[in-house]
Amino acid sequence: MATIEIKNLQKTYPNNHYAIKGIDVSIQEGEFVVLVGPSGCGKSTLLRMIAGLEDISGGDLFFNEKLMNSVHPKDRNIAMVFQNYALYPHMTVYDNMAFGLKLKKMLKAEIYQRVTDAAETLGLTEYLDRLPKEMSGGQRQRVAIGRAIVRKPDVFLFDEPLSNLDAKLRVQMRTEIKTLHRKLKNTMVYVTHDQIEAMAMGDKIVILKDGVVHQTDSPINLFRHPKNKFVAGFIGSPAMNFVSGEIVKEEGLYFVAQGMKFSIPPPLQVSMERYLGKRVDMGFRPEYVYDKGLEKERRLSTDVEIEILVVENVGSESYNHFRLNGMDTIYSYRSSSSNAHIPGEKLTVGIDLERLHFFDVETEESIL
Amino acid sequence: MVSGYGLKIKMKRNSSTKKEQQFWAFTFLFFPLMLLAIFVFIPILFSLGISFFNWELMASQQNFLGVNNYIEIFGDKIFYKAMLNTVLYTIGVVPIQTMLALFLAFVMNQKIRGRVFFRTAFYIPAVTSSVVTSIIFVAIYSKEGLLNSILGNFGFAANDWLTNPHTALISIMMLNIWTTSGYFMVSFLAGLQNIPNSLYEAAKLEGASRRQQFWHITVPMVRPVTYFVVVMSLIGCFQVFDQVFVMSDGGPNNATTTMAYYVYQNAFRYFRLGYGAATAIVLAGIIMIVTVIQKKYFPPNPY
Amino acid sequence: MVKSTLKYLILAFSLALIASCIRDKENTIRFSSWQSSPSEKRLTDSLLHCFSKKYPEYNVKFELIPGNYSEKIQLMLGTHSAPQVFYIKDFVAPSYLRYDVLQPLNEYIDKDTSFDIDDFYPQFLDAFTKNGIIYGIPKDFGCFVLFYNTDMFKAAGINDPPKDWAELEEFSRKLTKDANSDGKIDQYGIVVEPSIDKLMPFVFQNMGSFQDKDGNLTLNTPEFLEALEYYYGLYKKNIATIPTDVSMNNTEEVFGRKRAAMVISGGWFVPQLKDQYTDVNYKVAFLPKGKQMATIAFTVSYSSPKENLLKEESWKLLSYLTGKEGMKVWTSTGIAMPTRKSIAAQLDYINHPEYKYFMGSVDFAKVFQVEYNERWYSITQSAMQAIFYEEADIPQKLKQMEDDMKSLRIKK
Repeated sequence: MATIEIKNLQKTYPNNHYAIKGIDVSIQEGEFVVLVGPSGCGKSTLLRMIAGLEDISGGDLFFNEKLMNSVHPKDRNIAMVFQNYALYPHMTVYDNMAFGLKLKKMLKAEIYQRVTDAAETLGLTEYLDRLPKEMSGGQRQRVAIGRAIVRKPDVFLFDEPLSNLDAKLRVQMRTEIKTLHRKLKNTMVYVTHDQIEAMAMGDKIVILKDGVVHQTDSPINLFRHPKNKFVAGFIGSPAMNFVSGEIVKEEGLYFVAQGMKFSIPPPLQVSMERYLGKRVDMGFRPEYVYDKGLEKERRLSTDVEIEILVVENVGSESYNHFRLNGMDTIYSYRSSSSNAHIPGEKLTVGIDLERLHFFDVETEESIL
Repeated sequence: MVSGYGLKIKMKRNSSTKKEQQFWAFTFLFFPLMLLAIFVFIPILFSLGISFFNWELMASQQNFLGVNNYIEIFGDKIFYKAMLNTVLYTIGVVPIQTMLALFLAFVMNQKIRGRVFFRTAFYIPAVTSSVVTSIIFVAIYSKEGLLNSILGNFGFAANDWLTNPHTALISIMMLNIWTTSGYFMVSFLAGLQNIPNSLYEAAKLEGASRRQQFWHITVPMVRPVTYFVVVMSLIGCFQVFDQVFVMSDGGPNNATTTMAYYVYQNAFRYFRLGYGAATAIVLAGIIMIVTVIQKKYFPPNPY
Repeated sequence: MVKSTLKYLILAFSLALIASCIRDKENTIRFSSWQSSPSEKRLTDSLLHCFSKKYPEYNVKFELIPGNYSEKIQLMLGTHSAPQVFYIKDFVAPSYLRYDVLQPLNEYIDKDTSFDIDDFYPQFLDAFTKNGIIYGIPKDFGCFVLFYNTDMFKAAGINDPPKDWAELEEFSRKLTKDANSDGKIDQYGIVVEPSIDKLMPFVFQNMGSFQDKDGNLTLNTPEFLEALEYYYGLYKKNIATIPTDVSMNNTEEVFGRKRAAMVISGGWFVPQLKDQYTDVNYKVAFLPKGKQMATIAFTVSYSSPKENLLKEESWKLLSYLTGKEGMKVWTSTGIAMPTRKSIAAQLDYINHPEYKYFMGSVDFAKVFQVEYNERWYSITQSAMQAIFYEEADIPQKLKQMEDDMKSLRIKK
């Protein structure tokens, strides 16, 4: 069990590529923290610096308030699960899991105990004599996890462990890892590029882009209160829809764009004052668009005329991709499948006014 | 004409594409196969044939001997000496060469300064003519040569390496190890670069030292290459000839007479092609048996 | 279009094949030899030039065989592609005579009245004769003589070369010196070689032999043993050296580089001394006497293959080269000695300061030939090497040699 404190961590490569530009993260004991972001954001680099596989160019790393910058990986009491499992192909499952313990010169009996316990937890008991090449991807990943478990580390590190699995297996393993976390109660740092995975698994999510942290928060907060346009567009699938417009004053402040008019929700009336007469970006999530013909209870915006282009019927829901009032941009909204639409259909929708987000055009920050 | 011809092709395409493919396949295979047949397969069969005769090149007719040549081979004490020399040679060269090549490859794979230079330097002996290296080493091994003067600085008495029956074979072995390690180093380098880095990282995290990483990850993972290197090395060692021919003529007192040299001596120096052919067949048989044994008990087993 | 390209390819390929098969003009006489030195090549060229001038209707093509001569000739004879005229060394002549591959020359000799076969020294002609049939004509001869360094002799206070075994040993001892007192001998009395060729003169001098007239081996005899022990004794007593001990390739080089005062060598060494080792002051002498005078003679013949479409033409060339005119041109440079008595008389080599030792040796020179399969040479070499390098027991080695060689007897 350990707390991890990352203070102003930096990483520069010999070719002067400035990969990590000063990151602060605070991880509590037993927390499941997810590092997520688009490719090249530095999440794996950050994880490897925590592991000790990459040197730290600047800043400090603390485990339980002890400085770890120059400590050798094997002395940090961590375990890592790699994306391609990194199992030793010539050793059996048992030997793979026992390898590290044998290096530490642990007693055979104790090794046996730990390995069989871990195997049981992961459902690998009958595979202990097999070689990795005789096992499926999911099983191999479990072995990699088992290898981490037997070390009884303070911190578990996961580097995109599910990326090589098929979709269904991914969902299943997600749950298993979360269950494991609940059981072992270890601090876990998990890297993924998949925001759904991040949202599903993390107690706390760190969103990274270009080597900088954009927001660290719980999943719900990231969804409801994104700090900037990038976070807002990164979290949620399908992504948030953005419209560019202007703030005008009639009886109260309004956002107008392309012939649509949205009244500014009361909580934002004050902060929006200074944007009067200026351009702002407005974002609305696909989840909060409603067929005006059907939805009666919510407080919706004024009519918005849309033309459906593509309908993705994924079973219980439909993702409808549409054009708005003749504009070129394609937006999307989610509806229940029972109200199936067809491409080419024109209908009138309204957007939930209490779920609007506004962003400063220059700083891209959320206007709160 | 072009369009008309194009039309002709279009019409033909569906029905004769397969035939056309086969035609070209055979055409391209034909010439190499013919070369192989003329220079390899037919001579091998011919050798097998003449091994049953007292085949002398200048004789007007050849006497059929049945298996007498083979019987004579197994009664010739120089044959056994040659076999012993070849076995000693192989036992000495193959393990050392393999380990040296792997070690060199491992070192060359690290990011050290000037590694391109070292890689080239190690590989050059492998592509230099074996006759040339042999001649150079005759000078180095001579009584007043380079090796003795270096050893003399450490207080060792000068020795004529190639005429001393105790050191002649070992001297040739050393030369061969030096020459072909570079060649196999390249094979191992390729194998090493196929090992995913994450394996080493995982081991590093688990506390494996560099030496432990070498033995627990590198060595098992290059096993297919090791198999290849050992087989090629074995076959090469059993056939060692160039160095013996240039440096010692099988001497002194048959100390460096290897199987291949014995074949040469009997066929071309003693004018007994039939006997020489029989010896060559026996040598080939031995090599085949050894390779089969190796495949059975030390299979390549890639992961 | 594909098919026609292929047709052209096949046509081109076939033409190339045919072109490569075209041989020289039908009546070109091919002549091959090895080459010991550039001066010899020049001599060969001028000799052939003289022939072409005298017989312009014949075409001669000289094809040098630079290395592995015996194997190459053997191969060519076996594949019916041998040159019309080529050298054969006396040493290997038995092997060729064993097979029926050389052209018997008697009928040509008898028909050619100017050839005068009796002009030849008998022992050289015998080397290429079997059952009365002559298969080659000896073109010249050389023999082993003693070369000695006059400067070193003078420095040691010796005026004349050794005339017997006792003097050879005594002088060698005197001439062996550690000039700079560094513990290593810089100059040896004589340089020898663990080789049967260099040993045989001593065996013959001791009235021993390699095989008797019936062809049985006579190695395990007191005479042979005595000679071998004397010969090896020189090395053992550290008054003789061998080439590998001083990092050199052959005995001539050791003498030429002044590491030894004496060496047993032949006429081929003379041009080398004149060209390469110009600062060595030397003289030539007969080999020292044992119980009798003896030395080994070397001769080379011109021979023709039996399978020959140009028999008349080959004889024309052969008889010119070994005829009185040709031999005179060839041996007048002293590169080798004439095998014809008349030419020897004409050139008066018997009175030449250097050549008299070669010519004079004719009386007691023997041609060394062995009627056993070539493997005998390897067996004796191994034995000699064992004796010199491993100090093997000499009587035992002699007996072993005889046992090993018995089965190699060439049947008549």
